[in-house]
Amino acid sequence: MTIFDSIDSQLINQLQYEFPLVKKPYEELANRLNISEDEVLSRVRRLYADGVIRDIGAIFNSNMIGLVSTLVALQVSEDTIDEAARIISSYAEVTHNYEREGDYNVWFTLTAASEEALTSTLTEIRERVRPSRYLSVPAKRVFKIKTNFRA
Amino acid sequence: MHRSLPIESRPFLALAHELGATEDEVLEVIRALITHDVIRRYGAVVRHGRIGYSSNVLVAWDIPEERVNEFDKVVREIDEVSHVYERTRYPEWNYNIYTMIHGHSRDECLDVLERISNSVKIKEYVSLFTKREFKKRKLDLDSL
Repeated sequence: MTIFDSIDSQLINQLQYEFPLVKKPYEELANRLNISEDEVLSRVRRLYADGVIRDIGAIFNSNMIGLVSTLVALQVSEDTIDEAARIISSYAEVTHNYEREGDYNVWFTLTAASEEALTSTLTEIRERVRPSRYLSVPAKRVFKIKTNFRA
Repeated sequence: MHRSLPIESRPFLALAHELGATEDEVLEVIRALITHDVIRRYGAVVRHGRIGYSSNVLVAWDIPEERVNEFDKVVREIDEVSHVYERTRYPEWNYNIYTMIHGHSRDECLDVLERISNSVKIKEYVSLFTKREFKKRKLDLDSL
């Protein structure tokens, strides 16, 4: 875990929850935290370099921009799981890929520009990975998505 | 706009130039997209594992249709729950609601899970703790 001080914590929370949509957002953050803009910029660069911040930008609702997606669960044998994961992760359409506890040990998300493209990619993945069990659970309804975390 | 914001004093300037617009216009568009729910959030995406949330679990619940909204009301208020989705049921996998729970430890996740279960009085669920994260990336819209 990265060592950061209380100003970093506040900055991490501000960047997630209250990003200032103004011409000079880092100056605004500097005012809120009582430090200089240069210090904010240098702290943000450091948080990026340390891998604490993945990205700063717009998070789109994928279904609002015409994309389709699904969650896929596979059962693959222990000795083939690493290779299976490598194959699955190689697709740009796969954004999340995890090993999980339980009978279905690989879970991944797949997003595409159309149902046809989704099905085609999924078929290809199944043919390459050859899971012993497979499940695709597309979303019927999204109740909550909240991807910020209190530092 | 889905690309990373530059870390400089006037970070919207480059985007404005590219679009042949002013910074104010760019900011106005972003605000409008937020209002219309096209942009869910504008800000930093943090690697939660790097700020102490080392444990996470996908929980699949079997919740009767008439109780789904009640369940949603409860989990909506719980900060440790990041995602709640209703998904397709199957005979061999008879779960319809999926929640993602994050915590500083496995025990913390289990506490949250128990709290939810007790609150809605639903005991039909499976907890699928993360063993390994193979990939986690923002969607590359240019690649689709």
